[in-house]
This record gives sequence, C-alpha cells and structure tokens, in this order.
Amino acid sequence: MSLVNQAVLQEAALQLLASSTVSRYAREASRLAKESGLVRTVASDSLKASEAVVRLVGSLKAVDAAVDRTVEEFEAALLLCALSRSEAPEAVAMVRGLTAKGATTSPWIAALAARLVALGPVAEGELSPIHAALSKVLDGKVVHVEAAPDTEDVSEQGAFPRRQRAA
Amino acid sequence: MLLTAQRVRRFSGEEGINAFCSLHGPYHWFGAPPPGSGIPDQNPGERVNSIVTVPPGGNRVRSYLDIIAPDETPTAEIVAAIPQFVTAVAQLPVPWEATVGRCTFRFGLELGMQGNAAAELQDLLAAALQVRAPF
Repeated sequence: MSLVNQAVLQEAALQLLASSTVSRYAREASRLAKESGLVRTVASDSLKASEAVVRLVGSLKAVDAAVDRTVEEFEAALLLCALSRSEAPEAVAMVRGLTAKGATTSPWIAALAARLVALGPVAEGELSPIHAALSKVLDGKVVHVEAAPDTEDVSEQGAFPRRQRAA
Repeated sequence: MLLTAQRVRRFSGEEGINAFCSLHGPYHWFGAPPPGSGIPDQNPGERVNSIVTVPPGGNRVRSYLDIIAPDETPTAEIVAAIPQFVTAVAQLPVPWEATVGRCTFRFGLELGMQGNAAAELQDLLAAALQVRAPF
C-alpha cells in the first residue's frame, strides 16, 4: 500500500499548485502530511521512514525527468515534510541532502527542503561554538539568583508548561 | 513560537529535562512579541513537539529556558543570538530576560545552582533547540 493515498495526493495537487509563495506551499504540504497521518507513520516507524526515503528518491527522479510539474512533485513534498520530522539518520540525511545546490531541478522542492532544515532542530555539532562562547562568559561565575523559579510543571495537555506553585 | 526546556524534579527524586515546541502561526514581529498578542504566557501557541524525560505534571521546576520568536525564525538566527543574550545579562541577577533581534530569551534557576549556570544553560539550550519542529 502506498504511503500517500490518492485522495490526499489530489488535495495536495490542488493546494500546492495554487500556492504562489514558498511559505504557503510549505504550510499546505506540512498540513496535509500531518492531517493524513503520514508524519506520525514515518516518525514512529523506522521501516516506514526507509520506505518513505526510497519512495521520495523515486518521486524525485520522476520530477527531475519531467518538463512540467507532475503529481510526483506533490507526493515528494508530502514525503519530505514527513521525513523532516523523523529522527532516522537516513531521513535526516535525505532532507539535508536536498538543500544542496543541484540536488533537484524542482525549485519548489528545493525551497521546501531549505525551509524545513532552516526551521528544524539543530544539527549535531552545531552548538559546539555556542557552548564555547557561553563558557567564556559564564564559566566559574557564580550568578546571583534574585528570584528562584517557584513553579511546577503542568501535564502535557497544559497550555503553558509551568505555573506558579500553590502557597 | 515558544521553545521551552525545563529541568524538573519529581517528589521521588527523579530528575530530567523536558522540552516543548509550540507554534503561533504566521505572526511577524521584531523585538519582543507585541504586548497585545499575549505571547507566550497567555497565548503559548499550539504544541507541535515535545521531548519528555520525566512525566510532566506537578514536578518542581529547577531551571528553565524559554525562547520566544516568530515561527519563521531560522534556527541559525536563534543560535547566533544566544551569546549576545548571555553577554547582555551576565552581570544581572537571575532570572534573566532579554530580547536580541526578534528572539526573546528567559532563563531562571533555583538557589543551589548558581555556580553551574553555564552548564545548565547549555543543557537547556540543547534540549530547546532539539525539540524545535518546523510544523
């Protein structure tokens, strides 16, 4: 069974073709990937993530070979969104790989990949210089605590993740 | 967007860092969030991702880091703003709060952790930036 069903693909075609900005394109692709359950499926199952990577490679071949925009582009957009939420190393590599120049001939897919990476979590090792900078300013320093956080956390359903503790 | 990381301790002594990512949609601002928006305390946004190491609810918060920025802010921009935030507040008493560009940071920790602020901030930062999700 295909990861993206026909009805979702049809809706994706409509919404993504109607998008005139990358921002809207990304918003609609992510919404559809999420609402169709694709994000959950790919994020929770490494086999499904592998399947999605294989399928995405196939879709991109079709996209790159086509002269006009094709249905495979919309499938690729949804798969890309889903893979961007997966922690599987091959998924991470796939999404980051698509931000390289010339990785795809589709400007929409390239822009979507760039956006997903830019607005995603930090990559491994990216924080090392920041840690060094913080250490330079703060290491060995005893900060003065004027008011400690007299708070407790709330359950996952809670709106703000902490609240003042009851007296 | 609100990225929160907090070190929490259960009554049983179990301790860990929980982190949450909430998004606010296509709002744009520069500087601190617009006062009327209620972001983040009254309007924490829609939670889209979480990293939970200790089951949340009723735990004592030992330290926290909040990062508030428009959803569209690249992670690299947030990362670049952090040293400026720390430099701006390092001489002030905790809790720290400052805005750099369009990123607002809030950091607090309990008594007893004063000598460990650098390591604590690093740990919370790593969790807050790890939980970020684009949608």
